[in-house]
Amino acid sequence: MQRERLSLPVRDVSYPAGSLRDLLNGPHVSAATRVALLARIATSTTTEPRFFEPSMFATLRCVCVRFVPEAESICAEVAAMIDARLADGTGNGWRFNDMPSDGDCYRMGLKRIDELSLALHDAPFALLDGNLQDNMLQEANHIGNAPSVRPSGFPARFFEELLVEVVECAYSHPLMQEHIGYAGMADLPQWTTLTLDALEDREPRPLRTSHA
Amino acid sequence: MREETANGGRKYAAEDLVDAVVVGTGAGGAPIIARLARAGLRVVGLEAGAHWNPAVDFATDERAQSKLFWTDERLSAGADPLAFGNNNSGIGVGGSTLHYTPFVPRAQPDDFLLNTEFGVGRDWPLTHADLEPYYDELEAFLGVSGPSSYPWGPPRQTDYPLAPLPLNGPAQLMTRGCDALGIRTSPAANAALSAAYFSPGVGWRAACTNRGFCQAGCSTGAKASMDVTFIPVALAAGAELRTESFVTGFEFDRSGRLCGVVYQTARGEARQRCSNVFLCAGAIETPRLLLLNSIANSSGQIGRNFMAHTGLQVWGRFDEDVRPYKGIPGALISEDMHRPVGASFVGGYLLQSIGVMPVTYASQVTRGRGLWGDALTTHMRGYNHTAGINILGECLPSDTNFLELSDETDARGLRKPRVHFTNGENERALTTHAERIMRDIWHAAGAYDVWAYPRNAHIMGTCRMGTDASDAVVDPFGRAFDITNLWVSDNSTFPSALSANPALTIMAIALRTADHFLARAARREA
Repeated sequence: MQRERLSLPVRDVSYPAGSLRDLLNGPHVSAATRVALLARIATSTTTEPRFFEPSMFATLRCVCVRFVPEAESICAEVAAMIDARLADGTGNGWRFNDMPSDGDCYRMGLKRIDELSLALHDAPFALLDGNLQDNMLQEANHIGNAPSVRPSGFPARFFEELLVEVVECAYSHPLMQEHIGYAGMADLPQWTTLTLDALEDREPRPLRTSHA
Repeated sequence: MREETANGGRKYAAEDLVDAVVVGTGAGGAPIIARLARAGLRVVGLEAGAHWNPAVDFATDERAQSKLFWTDERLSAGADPLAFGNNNSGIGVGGSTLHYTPFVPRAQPDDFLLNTEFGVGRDWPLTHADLEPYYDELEAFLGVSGPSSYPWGPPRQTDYPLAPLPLNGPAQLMTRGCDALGIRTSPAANAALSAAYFSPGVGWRAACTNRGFCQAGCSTGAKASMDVTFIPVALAAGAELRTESFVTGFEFDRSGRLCGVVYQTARGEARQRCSNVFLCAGAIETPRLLLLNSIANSSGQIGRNFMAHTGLQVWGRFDEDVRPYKGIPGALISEDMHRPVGASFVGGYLLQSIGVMPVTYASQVTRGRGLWGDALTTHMRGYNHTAGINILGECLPSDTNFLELSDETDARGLRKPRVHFTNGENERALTTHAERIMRDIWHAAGAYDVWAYPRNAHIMGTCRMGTDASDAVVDPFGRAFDITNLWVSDNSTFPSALSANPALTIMAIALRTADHFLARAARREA
C-alpha cells in the first residue's frame, strides 16, 4: 500500500495505457471475470450485422464515435453489441410506454438521421465530417425528445435511449474502463485499503493532473 | 449453474399432493420455503430463473451480470416512468437479493403508523412489535454487520452479531460533510459479513472481500442473498426447488380453492398438485399473475397503490482519490431526516453514502445530464474521484399510480404489465428538502461539480394487506381474502412504503406468515 496525495485541485485526470493488460495477466482477476472481459474484447466486428441494414449499421457506428470519442477504436464493437442485442430480441426489462419497441425505435431513428442528413447536407450521415455530425445529433436531440412521435420522424426519447445504450456498451468495454482508471475487476483476493487517497499496488495511478 | 437446473433431483410427481407450492425464491419466498420444510411439510419452490453457483458463474463485470435482472419487458408510463431491470427486480434462485445492496435498516415503529401520525397514507395492520422478534432472528441468521450502538429508533433487544463493515471512500467523505453540519451518522447495517460467520443449517460463510459489487452479484457468499442462506436450509430440510419454471396459472377445486399450479418449462407446460400456494413473485409479477388469471380481486385493489421509494442520488467530485468501486457500497447511514423538524411533507427519509460501479455511473450521468462527446469522456475520467449520497424516502399511495395489463404480449404470449408512476406533491417536497441537505453535505465535504439524479427505487403495494376485505387483497398475515389457501408474501403487500429498504422487512413478514400458517395447520384450520 502507498499513500499518495494528489496535487490540488484535480479537475482532469487520465490513466496510463496497458494497466488492463497487466491486470488480466495477473493473479487478481477471477476466471469468470477474465472470460467475460476477453470475450468483450474479442467481440466480432467482421461479421455482417444481423439486425441492421448495412447502411444503418454504418450510421450507428458513426453515432457511437460522436457520442464517446475516446471509444473510436472500439465503436465497431459497440455497434455490434447493440446489433446482437436487437437481433436476439433481448432488452433491459422496460421501455417508455410512449416509445415503440426497441428495434422499431432504432430503425426509425437511425433512418431519420440519414434522411435529415441527405436533406440538409446532400450526403448520408456517415459521410459527414465530425462537426456536421455533432450538429445533426444536436438537432436530433432537440426535435426528437418530445413526448410522442413528432412530425420530425424521430420516436420520442430516441436520442436519450440511443445515447444511454451506446455509453453503457462503451464503458462496459475493458478499454474504456482502463481509460477511467477502473480496477474493480481485479478484486482477488480482496481489497484491504479503503482509505481516501490510499491505493493498493495494483490500482492504476493517474498520469497527470491538470489544474482548472 | 447448479444441478437442480437440470431438474435431476425431482422429488414429487405432478400428481403428488404437496403441502405448499411457493412461487418465487427471493426475500418473500425463500424464508417460507425454509420455514415450512423445517416444519416437515412437503414444499416445492418454483423459480423462473437459474440456480447459479456464484463462485464459478459470477464475473466482476456489470454487463455479464445482467443475467441477474428480470428483463421481460415492462411498459413504464406516467410523468416519472420507472426503470426496471437492474433497478427493481431479480431472476434466479434468490430473486432480487442476488443484486440487493444489502443495506438492511429496520423500519421504525412510526413507519407502520403513517396515517395515525399524519392523517394521510395508510397504517399497517401489524406493528413494529410484531416484527421485532423476526428482525432479531433474521439479523442473527443472516449475519448482519452493524454498529454496537445505533442512534435512531427504539433500543435494540439484541446486538448486531458482527461489527460494521469498513467505511469506504464515499462513507468517509459523507462523514466529513455531516460532521461539519451537525448531522449524526453511523456505520450502516449491512447483510454482508465483516468476519467469517456460522449459521445453523448453512455452515460457515467467509468474510466480505470489499469487492463493492453487491448490486451485480456476490461471488464470495459473504452477502446474505437467499441462495446462500435460506435456500440451503430449505434444501437440507427436504424442500424441492424447480428452476426455469415460470408460473402462468392455477387449478381450482369445486369449492373455489386452489388445488394446483401450472407453469412453463423448457420442455413444455407442467403442473403440481398442492394444498396451498404462496405467491412471492414481487410487486409486478405477483399482481400480474393474479390479473392474468382474474382471481383474488373482489376488492378491485390488485395493481393499485403502487409505490416506489423516493431515491434521489447526489454525486460530487473530490480532490481525493475515492475509488468508488471498493468496499460495501452503502457503508454509512443517517436517519436524522426520518422525521425532519419543520418539514412540509409527510414522513421522511434516510441518507446513505454510495459507491458506484462504472457502467452504472456512466449510464446515470448520461441520462441525468445528457453528457456526450468530449464532455462525457472528460467527466468519466474523473470516475475515481466520485462519491454519492442516496436517499430512501416515503412514497404515498396514489390513485394515479398503478399497474395494469397492457394489450401488448410478450414472448410467452402473456400480456405485458404497464406501470403508471408519477411522484406526487409529497414526494416532490421531500425530494427538494433532501437535495438541499445532500448538496450541503457534499459542499461541506469539499465536493465540486455536484449534481442530482432524481430516481425512484423499490416497488411496493400492488396487493396491499389490510383488515377489510373490501379495500385490501390479503389479510394481515398475507392470506388472500377471496381464496383461503392462497397467500402472498412479498413487497406487493406493503400498505405504505416505509422509509427503510424493504428486503429485511419482506423477510420478516415472510417468516411471520409462515409461522401463522404453521400455527393454523397445527390447529387444523382450513
